[in-house]
Amino acid sequence: MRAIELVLETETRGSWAVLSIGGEVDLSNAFKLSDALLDLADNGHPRVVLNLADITFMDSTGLGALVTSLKKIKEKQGTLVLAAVPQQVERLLDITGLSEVFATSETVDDAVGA
Amino acid sequence: MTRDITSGPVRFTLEVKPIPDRIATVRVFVGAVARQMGCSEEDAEDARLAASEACAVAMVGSDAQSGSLSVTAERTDHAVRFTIARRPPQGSDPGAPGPTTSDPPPGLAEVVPGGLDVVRALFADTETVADSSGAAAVSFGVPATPEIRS
Repeated sequence: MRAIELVLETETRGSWAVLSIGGEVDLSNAFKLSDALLDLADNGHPRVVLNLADITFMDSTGLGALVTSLKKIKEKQGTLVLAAVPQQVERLLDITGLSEVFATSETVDDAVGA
Repeated sequence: MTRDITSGPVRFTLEVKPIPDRIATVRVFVGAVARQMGCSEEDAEDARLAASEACAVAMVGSDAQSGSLSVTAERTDHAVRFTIARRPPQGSDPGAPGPTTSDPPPGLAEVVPGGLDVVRALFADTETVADSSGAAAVSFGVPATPEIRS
């Protein structure tokens, strides 16, 4: 069986960068998620929306990547908003006590204020 | 994958290389076995998450290529007990400390409260035990209906 593909797409919405990811996030590919988020922050996009609508699974290594990214984005006076958080990820955020750490939004449109 | 139906409780076993790319395979196995053995959809999803966490715990900080990762599912009266063990290469002493050549992937040095904490939060009876080969293992029970689906 091949490694899981993590699909990543980026678009700009006003002053926001929107990173949409799809697939499953675990130890095998979580670093790709943090790399993509930090690339955006390092390249003039301190305001980032992470669209999780197409995520089908995430474990705590994925959350680790998000925490690492959030910390670095905040160091640049930036913002990270999680949009369209799936139920499984919401449950993991609750279990790990990280629900209050991340700003969340029901949709990407809500996050960027469209 | 093997299924032992010769005697005693029904048991399924999966053995894979202890590399991160195989964690998805373990999740597929755990989810399918949980459903087949009478766990609810919600509990099967929790079992997949617990298995993913246990695999990550077994892999981070150890040699990514040596030995194997063993996943065993055994039916008890009202649960399916999953045991996930990192087994050393054959011929080595399971009690000996393993090599520690791999660091977590870049960006994952600050892992959130997770791993075993998540498994324990999902399944209160989670134990760290030695499996039948003497290897360190994480074991948790997933509630299941009394009858196994055919």
